[in-house]
Amino acid sequence: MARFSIPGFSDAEIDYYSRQIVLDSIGLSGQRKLKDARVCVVGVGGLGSSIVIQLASMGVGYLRIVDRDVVEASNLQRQHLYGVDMVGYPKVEAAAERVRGLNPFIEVDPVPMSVTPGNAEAIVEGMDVVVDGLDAMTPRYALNRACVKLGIPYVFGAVITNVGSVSTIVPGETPCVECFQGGIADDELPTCAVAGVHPSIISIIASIQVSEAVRLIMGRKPNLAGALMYCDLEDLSFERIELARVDSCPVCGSDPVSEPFPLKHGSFEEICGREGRRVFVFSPDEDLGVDLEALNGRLEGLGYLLTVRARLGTSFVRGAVKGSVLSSGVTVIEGVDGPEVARGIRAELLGL
Amino acid sequence: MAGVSVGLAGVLARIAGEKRVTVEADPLGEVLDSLASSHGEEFRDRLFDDGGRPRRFINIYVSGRDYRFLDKLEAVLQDWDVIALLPAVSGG
Repeated sequence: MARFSIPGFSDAEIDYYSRQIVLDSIGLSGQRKLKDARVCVVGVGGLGSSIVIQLASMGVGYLRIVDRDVVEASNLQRQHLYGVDMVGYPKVEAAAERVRGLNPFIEVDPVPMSVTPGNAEAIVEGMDVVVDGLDAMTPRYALNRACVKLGIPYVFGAVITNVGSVSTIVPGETPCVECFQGGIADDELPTCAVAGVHPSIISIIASIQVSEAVRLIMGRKPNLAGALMYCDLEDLSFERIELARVDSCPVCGSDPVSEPFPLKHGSFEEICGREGRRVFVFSPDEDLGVDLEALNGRLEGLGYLLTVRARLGTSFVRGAVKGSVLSSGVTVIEGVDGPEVARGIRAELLGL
Repeated sequence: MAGVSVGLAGVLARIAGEKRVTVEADPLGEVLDSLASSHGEEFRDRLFDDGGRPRRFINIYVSGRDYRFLDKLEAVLQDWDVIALLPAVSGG
């Protein structure tokens, strides 16, 4: 016999969430809102790991997680969703497995894709809140534009070295990302791979993002709606900049001066090298539905060693060449001399 | 004018050794030049590119407005304006 008899919740859920249900700012009605919420976390690297762990444990009923990468050993210092046994697995698959272990009462939807200008709207459509775990500006701009267009609140967050930024975009009410950090090419900015990042700043920024997302779900005004918080771990300072809406913003302004600047839409790119090796990534706009069993057979036939055979992707190695193919068709080829070689390998593997 | 308040963050604040300064200059470009002149070459290198333009990854806000949407370096300032210089952050 049920101990609590609370409609919509099992006794086990009430036990699980009891410390939030007694919390004034959430309570039983808030817990119900969390259960009914649909949240998309885009990028499950450093920020995304911490965000997903918190949102899943708090009981967000539907959690869509989006990422194109596989887990690497160099991720583990800060990406706390993963362990050494998950190296080589698609991040979204490893994350979903961890989440199911953390909280069996929620639904998790792993999407092994890159966010591109061509698919951002489809990825976030139907979501109540989008939370940013990305590591570059171009996909953030794509996400920002999709959220502004669809009217979905978007919690921006970013970190590097010992500093981080966070702001909450409420379409129609606050400035958007391109009002306060627009038009920056990613090659102008340092990456965590080059400059490094302290796990503590990630946890701080991710936690603020979660707090903002939860306020949105509760129907409360986010603390950083129309403000940018800049945190510096070096002296543990928090600077808050009040932002003004920009009528002439090409993305969200009421009187835009121009079209939004074009985003690089290529499905093929060279990314930051890993340990001096060139890395090429292919990112289709749509899920290609790769038959991984057939792919694995082809790889073995070509002399590749399969290092991971997962449900949503395969990792492989042959001599100096390493790579992965996700079920969506996202392909990473590492350790080849140039783009044409990478393209050739991908075509061979996918039978293109 | 009595001077505008400028907030510095991250590496700019560390080089300058302070987070808040008051600068008597106008327009915005003059404020940035004045800051660079008083805080040394390293500060100037972090703020400006080789062509003397503010680096794209330094966010410059005038009372919460990105200077790109104002008259850029020609933006005329008022005493009550608060300027913030923040290095853009984009990792994750």
